[in-house]
Amino acid sequence: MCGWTNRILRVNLTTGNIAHEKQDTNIAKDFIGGRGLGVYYMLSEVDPTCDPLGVENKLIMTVGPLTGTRAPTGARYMVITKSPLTGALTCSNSGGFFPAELKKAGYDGIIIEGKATEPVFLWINGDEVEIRSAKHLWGKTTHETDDLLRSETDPKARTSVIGPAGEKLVLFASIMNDKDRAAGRSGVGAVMGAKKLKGVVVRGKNRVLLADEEKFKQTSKKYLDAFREVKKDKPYPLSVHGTAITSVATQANGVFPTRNFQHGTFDGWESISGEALTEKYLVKTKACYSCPIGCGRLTKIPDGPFKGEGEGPEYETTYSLGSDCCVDDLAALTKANYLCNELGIDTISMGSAIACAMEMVEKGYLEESEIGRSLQWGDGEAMVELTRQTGLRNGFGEILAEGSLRMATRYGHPELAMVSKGQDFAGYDPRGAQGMGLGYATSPIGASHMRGDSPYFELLGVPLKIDPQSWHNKPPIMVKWQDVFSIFDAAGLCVFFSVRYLVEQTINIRPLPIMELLNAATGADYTLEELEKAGERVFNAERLFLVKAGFSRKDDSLPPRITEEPMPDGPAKGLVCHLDEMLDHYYQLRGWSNDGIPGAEKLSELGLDQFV
Amino acid sequence: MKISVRLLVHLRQYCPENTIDTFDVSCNKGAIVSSFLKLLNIPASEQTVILVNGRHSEKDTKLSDGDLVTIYPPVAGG
Repeated sequence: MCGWTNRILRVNLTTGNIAHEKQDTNIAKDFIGGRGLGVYYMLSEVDPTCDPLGVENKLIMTVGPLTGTRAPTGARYMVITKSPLTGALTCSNSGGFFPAELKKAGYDGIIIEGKATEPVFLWINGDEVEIRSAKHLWGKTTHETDDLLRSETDPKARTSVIGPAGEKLVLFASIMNDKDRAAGRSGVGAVMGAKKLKGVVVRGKNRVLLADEEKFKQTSKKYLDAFREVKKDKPYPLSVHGTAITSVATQANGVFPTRNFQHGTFDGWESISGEALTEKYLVKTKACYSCPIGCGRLTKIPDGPFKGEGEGPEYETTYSLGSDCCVDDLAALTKANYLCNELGIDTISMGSAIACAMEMVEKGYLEESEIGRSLQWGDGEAMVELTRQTGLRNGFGEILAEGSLRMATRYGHPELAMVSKGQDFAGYDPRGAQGMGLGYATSPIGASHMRGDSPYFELLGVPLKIDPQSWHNKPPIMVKWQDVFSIFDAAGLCVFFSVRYLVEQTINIRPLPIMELLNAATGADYTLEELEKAGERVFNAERLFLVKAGFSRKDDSLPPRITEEPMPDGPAKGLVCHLDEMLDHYYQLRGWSNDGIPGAEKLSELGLDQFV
Repeated sequence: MKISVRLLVHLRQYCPENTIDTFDVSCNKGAIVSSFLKLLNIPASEQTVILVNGRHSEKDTKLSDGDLVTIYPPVAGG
């Protein structure tokens, strides 16, 4: 079939074996691709109880059937593996240009197995694939590695690499592609580092074959035109200011995490907002492959102690390294963002771990002498220095590199880690955005805003506004949204365009436009019901992996700060997150037991009983 | 009664001149959000999210003297 390349690359780093495998078309249709295909292979081939940094774990990179096409935002790839941070399955998603290049090289995915004894990189030049030595690259930053790899292979090639943090197994190390795009979450970079794989370099020259070229072109144009019409007369905030503009909404609703989630509003919010970034440091905007939005930011700090240039910050970074640490110095948090990109670290977990350490110092649970320096709220210089130390596992960075939960547990206060399943929260306090609380707790990868991104309907009115503080009505919406977001990730699309233009603009966001695109691309003749079922299948397959790894309701949890301590001030004052009540309803709607285990009937309905 | 209004991002262009953060608008007692919005200079074509004292509002949410109405465009998540 078209859309898919129908081919998987399998590389074993222990044996050096490289194989091209045919991809079964029925499996491709059932799991769509991308995130879905990744979880299919993880369930089929990887023991869910394995050591994430051991030889048994696999690192899977997949693209979707729309990746590398001219579908608006068909730019994404996914990294799927067992996470060393959470012990759960993870799927970390990134755009840029590497994913389209991988697709054009003729692959739906790469399955990386085993472990090399010496550092290596993978050079994929279309059909020709080599494992080459990367000894000379070990210790280099992501930017240096990208430059060197392209100069010794093909200047037009695209790269996906780790920095020193991945090499040193920082548990929230990222994999960076095209220098500054991040598969950021859950420590996928540490899995790559454990395999001694410094990078994947790819050059692809094929065009993605489409089942109905003309129809695909017309359908893509229809939805692009709808976007252009909106953008025609008015500034589009995401294009003008990037994702950092989101703090306008989180601050106004009192859910902008501040002081390690002790508060929901930040006095210095305007100093670190998207508008401030545009005014002070923006050099130019940047778009991923086939993206009409261009939310990327090339920025420059021209002088001062935080001088530098690079990409970012995104909204999540302005929360984690900014408000959560009480840092209102935009230059400092931008500099820390650059360091995260170059060393290969997830900015969310980095900032969250520093905020947690700051609170432990404030409460007297952690001595500054242990850290080797002062660490007070709002100290941008300390935040930058600790980011550097973490990426290199120097000094107190050794402790921070284990993530906020392990660090807080070490000092006797695990309740101060703002995590679910060990992964740090995104930038929305669940007390004032109840759907987000349910989303964090039930996200298969640990806390994430990208599994049914409730801020769209809770804070932004997309497609319509639902009261963020209400909780009774959230479970059915989150079930629907989580399943449709699985389709975005499986198809290879970016959430930002898809949630507004590629789903019906009702609260049930039925993916009719995506179905049109997928059918024109693949010829698979999905019905709307089949496509929605595929999204549900992907989400349940991930849950099944987690259940096999020992996860259940006890892990679908939030810290007591969120469920027991009322928000002290701001618009969400007096609220806690009603997680337990929402979970009961949520499991029922999912067809899971009250302990969060998918029922036999549901698994059979989804064709997942083969994995039980 | 008097209502404070805060417009954010590009909606600031609809503030009265010299507005720093908020501006006050007088309206009849018992005004609701939809009738209050007609007193502002925001074209109907603008997409907006409207909060009253930082909390969710509906078209028929009643306003009280001293309320703060915050209006922002649907900025994106990320």
